[in-house]
Amino acid sequence: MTEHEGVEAMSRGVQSAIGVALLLLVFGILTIRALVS
Amino acid sequence: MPESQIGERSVARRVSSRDRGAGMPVRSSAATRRAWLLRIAPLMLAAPLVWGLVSGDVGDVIALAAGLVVIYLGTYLVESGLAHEAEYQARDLAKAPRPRKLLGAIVVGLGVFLCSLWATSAGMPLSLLFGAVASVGCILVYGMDPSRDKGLSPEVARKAGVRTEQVIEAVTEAEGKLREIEQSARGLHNRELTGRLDRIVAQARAVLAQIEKDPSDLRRARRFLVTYLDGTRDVVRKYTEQQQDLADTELAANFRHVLETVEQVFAEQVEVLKRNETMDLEVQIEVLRTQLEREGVA
Repeated sequence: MTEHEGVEAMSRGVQSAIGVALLLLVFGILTIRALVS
Repeated sequence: MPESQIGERSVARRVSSRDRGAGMPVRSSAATRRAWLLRIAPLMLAAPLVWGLVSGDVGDVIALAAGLVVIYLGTYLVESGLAHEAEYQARDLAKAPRPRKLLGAIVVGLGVFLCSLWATSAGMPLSLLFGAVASVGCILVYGMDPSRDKGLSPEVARKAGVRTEQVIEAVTEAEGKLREIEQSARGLHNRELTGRLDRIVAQARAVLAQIEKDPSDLRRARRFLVTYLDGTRDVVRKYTEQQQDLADTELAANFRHVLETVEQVFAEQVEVLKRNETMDLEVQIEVLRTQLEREGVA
């Protein structure tokens, strides 16, 4: 794996982690709001 | 990376993907990622759904159920996009797939928006924000759809005397026939025959990969793609339909014999194409065609 590919893979991993966090956050907040409403 | 290595990797991917199992867009079946996060995360909303049922809040229940249906529709689209993306990656020549992942992300966002608007006290702006964040999250996790067609360079196309569309069309058509063969093979009760057909399909995919690698092979392999695959597909389908009646008959033995020949000849096709020996290919195809007719299974 070249340096460029390594950086690309890392960037993709960070993006993916942020996406996972956002989705879990949205569904978590929705669940709590739906339970308390 | 040298072109030859790319081609070999492509062949390996095709063959190995077949060996590991059947699936919808076949070449992608092994590499297809499932959208597990989108399958599991929305299940959190099952808690308020059940609570709504317990407390008798019909409005919330309907809102959450409708939202979940929309979210899972989006999940289906994202998974379909992942499958088509894997198929696109496995091919050397391919048209860019439709933006299913993007559409799926938008639909998931819509589902989240509906859940938020109807089942919580959040107003329109906050619900829109939730929907947008969900869509962005999907795009970040599953990426964007490929947007570029993988085509032949003008020089290669001119040298081979074919257009990219012709190659893609021929390979896609052949893929369809292979899927039909696989579908028929799944109905066979004989494990030996199923295994043999698996190997035949894998070899045929290797031929397709070779054509994508060197499109000038398309002219020489056209008869293989049309006559040969059609013949094999029809024979397998007919046998599968009548296998109960044909068991232990001469036709069953002939069918087995034909499959043996098909496997043997298919195995030689890639080598023949690589060696650029047109005559070999024609002769082998002619031999098999004659045998199919003689054995009475075609």
